[in-house]
Amino acid sequence: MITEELHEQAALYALDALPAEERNEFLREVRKNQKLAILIEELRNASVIIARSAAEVEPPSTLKAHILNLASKEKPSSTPTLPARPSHQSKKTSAAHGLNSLIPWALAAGFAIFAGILWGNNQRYVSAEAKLAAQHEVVTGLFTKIADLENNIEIKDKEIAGVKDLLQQLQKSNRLANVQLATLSSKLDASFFGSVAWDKDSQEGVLQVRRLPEPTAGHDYQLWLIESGRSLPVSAGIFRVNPDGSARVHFTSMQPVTDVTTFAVTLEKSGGESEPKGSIIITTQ
Amino acid sequence: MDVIGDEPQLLARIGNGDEKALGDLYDRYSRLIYSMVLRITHSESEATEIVQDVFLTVWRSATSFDAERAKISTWLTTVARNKAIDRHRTLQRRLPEGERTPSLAHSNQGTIEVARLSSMVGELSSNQCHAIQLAFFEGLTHLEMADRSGETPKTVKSHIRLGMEKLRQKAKGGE
Repeated sequence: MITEELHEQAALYALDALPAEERNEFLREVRKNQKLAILIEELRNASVIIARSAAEVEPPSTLKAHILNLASKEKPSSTPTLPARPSHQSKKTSAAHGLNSLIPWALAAGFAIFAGILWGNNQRYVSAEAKLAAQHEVVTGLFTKIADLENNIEIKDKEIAGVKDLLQQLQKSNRLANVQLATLSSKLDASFFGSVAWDKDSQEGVLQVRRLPEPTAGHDYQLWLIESGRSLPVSAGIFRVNPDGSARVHFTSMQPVTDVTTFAVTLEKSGGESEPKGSIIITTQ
Repeated sequence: MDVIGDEPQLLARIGNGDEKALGDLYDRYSRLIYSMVLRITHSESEATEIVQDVFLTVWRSATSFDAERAKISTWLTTVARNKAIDRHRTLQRRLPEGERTPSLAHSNQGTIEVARLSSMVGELSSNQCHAIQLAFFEGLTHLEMADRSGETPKTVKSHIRLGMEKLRQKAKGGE
């Protein structure tokens, strides 16, 4: 949500007219608010229209050729060169004459080194300035990305809260007091999500998954129940997902289990395995 | 006038050292950049130097710009405007107060600019135009504008927000 005050600050920020003392706090808000980051981007794009309101004047006719000429000399590999060292005309020249003849060269070399240092500093300054401008665009992109991730977290929190609510309602109704509920997440991708309702009395349960990728050819997802004290997980069968990555699967344990501590989904060869061999896609923490 | 469709390719060619691509980009944007910088600095020699700096900056750092994500026109005007405002402020500070360039906001030129902006974006009031142009061309904060105009900072903020929102809608709708 963008309040009127934030909108005002965004407009000022896009014009670099937001006072420094308000800027930091505003940027903290931008990091949390994806819509605000997008608004700033659009306002900055809109500021080009203001540039166009200036009276149109043609730049000097020679400027283009001059810039292209400078550009041709500024290939990235180009470096300032120092003048060649003077050749010794005669080894027999007197020491005084030798010293005198070296003074102009020393001055020239000194000047060239000084110019080289200045040139280098200027290049660093110009390059840093360009980097800053490019980084500004990157930072805006990052703000958008952070806001995306924060949105994902928010969605996930809501899903978890929904599952917990369901559990509480079920427990209150005392119909499924022994139902164990758990959420499954992934270290591979924060958007993969699953939830399990497991009734140990009936040894059956329901698995719901969202946003899982389509399994690669010749593979299936397989659900595993992991008990404390048992060395190997127990299979609860294979399942497929819909094109949108969702599935709702009713499952039973292939062997009796009493104390399931972890639920996990792995990617196994088509038809499933007797023990997990593939990668863990989602698991309870 | 934005021809952004081929700009990622143009930038890629510039990044590969293609001088003709740099020339094409110059043909596309030099007049816009030069006019804007001249408006800010009031100096042809400063404007020429800044335009040169901007295009050489593009030449040196085209590979670091993501043309898929952002508009090159926004990048060019932002870099050029920052340079121009910094340069203009530095030069103004060196001058005695009486010799500094006066604001053009309420001059004939300012009036023409307001009219041009109004004609580009309908429904933009003259107060909104003035406030936006003072911020953009003269680098003033809303507090400085309020100080000069006698309006409250809140009113100036409101002019800028409403004006910029109309510009945003215009830009989104295509220029």
